[in-house]
Amino acid sequence: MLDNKKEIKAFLPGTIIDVLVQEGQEVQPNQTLVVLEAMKMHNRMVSAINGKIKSINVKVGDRVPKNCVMVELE
Amino acid sequence: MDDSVLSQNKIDELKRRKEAAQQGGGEVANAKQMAMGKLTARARINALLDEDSFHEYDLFAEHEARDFGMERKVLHGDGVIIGTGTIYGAPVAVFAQDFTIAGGSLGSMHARKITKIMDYALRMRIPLIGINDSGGARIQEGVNSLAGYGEIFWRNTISSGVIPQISVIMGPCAGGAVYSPALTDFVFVVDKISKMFITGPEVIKSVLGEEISQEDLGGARVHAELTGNAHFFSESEYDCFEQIKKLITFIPWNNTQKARNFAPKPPKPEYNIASIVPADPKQPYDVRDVIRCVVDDSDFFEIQPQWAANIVIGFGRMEGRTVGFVANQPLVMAGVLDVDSSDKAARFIRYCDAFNIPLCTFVDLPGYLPGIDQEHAGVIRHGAKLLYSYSEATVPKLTLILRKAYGGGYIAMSSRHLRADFVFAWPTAEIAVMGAEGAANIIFRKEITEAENPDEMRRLKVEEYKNKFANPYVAASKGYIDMVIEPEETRKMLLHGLQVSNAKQADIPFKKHGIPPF
Repeated sequence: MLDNKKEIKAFLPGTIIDVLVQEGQEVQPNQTLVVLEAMKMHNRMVSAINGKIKSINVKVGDRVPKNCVMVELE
Repeated sequence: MDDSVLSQNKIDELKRRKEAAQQGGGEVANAKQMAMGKLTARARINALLDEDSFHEYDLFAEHEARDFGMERKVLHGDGVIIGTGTIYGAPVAVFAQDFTIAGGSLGSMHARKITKIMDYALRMRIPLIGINDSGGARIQEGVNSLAGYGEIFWRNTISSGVIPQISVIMGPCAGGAVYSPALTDFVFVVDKISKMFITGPEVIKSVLGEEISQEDLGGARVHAELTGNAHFFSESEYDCFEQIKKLITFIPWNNTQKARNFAPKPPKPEYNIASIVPADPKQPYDVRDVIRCVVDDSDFFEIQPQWAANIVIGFGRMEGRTVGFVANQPLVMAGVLDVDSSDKAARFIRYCDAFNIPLCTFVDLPGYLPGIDQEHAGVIRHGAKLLYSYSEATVPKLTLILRKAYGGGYIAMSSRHLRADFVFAWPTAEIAVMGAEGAANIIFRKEITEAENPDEMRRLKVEEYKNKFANPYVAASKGYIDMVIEPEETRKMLLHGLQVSNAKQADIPFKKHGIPPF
């Protein structure tokens, strides 16, 4: 089955550098939700779909493990 | 009765026969096909080929099933249309399965028609395009049907690397049938229409008790985004045909020719190569914009854009000539190499090498993706495919290092050591065995741990390492890089590299074939 596009997961362990959205906000495909530092890069974690932010589970400075669900959409 | 009247009767009979045979499965079946958002087999061929260019063969073929009452059934053309035509004037051989006739099922005559056009394509050294829309084997014809599939697979394999082979999935393509597309060079899928799987939902349910829809198991999106079995995804059949036609413009007719030359065009002025790559190596960017800065008309035709997007592959033209591009994509997963991206790039490199298409590689990657899942998925074997394909490729190979080129990633991405013909680097390139933080921690472990202030000492040593190695000049001093160039010089240098390597000769020792790690 296709990956769940409503969950934005960390592809590697890393540090949250920035959170650019708020709960309840409408988002579009390719919009950056959070910035995750991993593999020497400030990775822009984007939405793949049109949706609304259901929950944000991280804040700036958090160390997150691999596959951590950072943002959930509805 | 004079002779002309007699021949007119014969011509009328021919017309009657053609008309009857060309009706497909009849009005009801054709309407059902169109209600599913699908064109008929004949309409598909007309949409794909140049107007009035299609010439059909074996229209009057009849099926050979003689059991279970099949002998009384008429299956026009036995459910498949074959012939030749042109796309923008380039000759192609085509078959299109007709789902309106016995579900497009493959009987022995159906298979013989397909293998006939495959033989023709190989003999004439022209591309083969197969439009698949079939329920699978014709059960009533038993083992003859299986034999048919085997004959098709064998021809796919023998033709591989000689003529381009394109598979278009416009309906079900399941069970053994789906191995023919898998053996071909490019697979096109259409949203909600394509269905590809080896064992379908019913079998999965009966054996494993798991329930899944055909769409979730093997729909177009699954193969475009998740499995990598498809190369091109489109929303409609018409969009799909436009994609195929565009692809045909980039590739040659066969492995003894080069792709057609087009009138040169400059890149579009809105793509400014100096403003795309951020100086801070931690900031991502879209490497496709760098490619658009160097290709004619900024027209980059990407392949497999939805799958393993951490590497980018596709075709562009430079001064009218087709070039295959491979580039790490810092925008996705920092541009790391992993199982899927290695597999994706390796196959494309071999395609370009087989069909005389020069390769341009843009490098900016932190290395291979660390992880238990990657190691256990066989990243050693899959990563090795990339080394193998670059090493064996004898087409002109040009490499440009944009920023990071560390460790195994540096070697794998068309380095001098794998016989790149030209290796250029921007002044922002960092070529080293590993990143500065990791390297300083190892080299200066003693100094750092014994220092009064280890953090300060670590910072100083990282800086020292960066100054020494985080640049292109160490590699350039060894001749591993031919020239450090300014971003604005990129297109000029690549064009010059292509020009001087146009008649490249690279000998490899005689072998029956290599044994790549697949």
